[in-house]
Amino acid sequence: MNLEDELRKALLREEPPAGFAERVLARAAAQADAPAHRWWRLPRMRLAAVAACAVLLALAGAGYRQWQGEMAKQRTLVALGIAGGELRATQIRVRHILAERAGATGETGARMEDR
Amino acid sequence: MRRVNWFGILVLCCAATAAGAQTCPFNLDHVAAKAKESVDITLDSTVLQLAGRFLSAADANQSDAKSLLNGLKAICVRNYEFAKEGEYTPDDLQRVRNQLRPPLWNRIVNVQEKNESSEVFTRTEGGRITGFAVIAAEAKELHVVYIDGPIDLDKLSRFGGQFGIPPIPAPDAARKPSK
Repeated sequence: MNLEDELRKALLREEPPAGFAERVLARAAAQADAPAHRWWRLPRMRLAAVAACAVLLALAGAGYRQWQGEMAKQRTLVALGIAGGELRATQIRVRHILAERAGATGETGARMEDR
Repeated sequence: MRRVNWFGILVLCCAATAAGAQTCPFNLDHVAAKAKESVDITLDSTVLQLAGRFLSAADANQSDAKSLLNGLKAICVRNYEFAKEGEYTPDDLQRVRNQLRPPLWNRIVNVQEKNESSEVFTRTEGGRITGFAVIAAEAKELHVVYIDGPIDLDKLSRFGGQFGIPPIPAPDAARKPSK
């Protein structure tokens, strides 16, 4: 038998055995009806996933709160530093002027107003 | 079924916005726009309370700051440095002063020199200081500090030059007082 005959025989159209189509359809239907055992569909795993999300959210919230607190602290300390500095500078300025006045130079005008 | 009261939420949001806007009784945004450098700090009571919780009682300076924050409702700091003179007007200063008028507020210090002025205002209620403000103006600088709430000025003045803030020199600091 030469190659040409072998190929012809191999490629010869052949009918499927009886009931082949029915068996394929039945198996496909059976697979569709079977419950899928995917891990995330298990109740325990769902609960664990929700718990993990809750913990992550709580940690993120705590971290954000901590960051907010640190920012508020820094801003407050800077504000107090500036406010204190301005008050101090004014006190020094008044002292200088009063000292100058005491020295009778009297070039600048300053007055302490009554409360 | 629970129904969301959207109108109530809207009213609350508006009230919160209005409260935020009232933290500082003055607006210097138009001056800030012309500044070469600016420091703009607005702290309302919520932020101050939060900061107070994060200040360490173990650290002496932070402990002082914590005690200073007790009862404070707001701190506003506006520091502007300009590239040239005349970037703010006397009207800008007057608008700030208008918020610090008697009978609530009193100007306890008023230093007027050539191109420089310093004013300190306090609000006194029941014999104690419940508000403090400073307006310090120079040709190219404008500093406004406003504190709403009971404040110990002696303690506050000790904070100058702390927490990484360089001490603010008096403009005539170089000039030695005559003895």
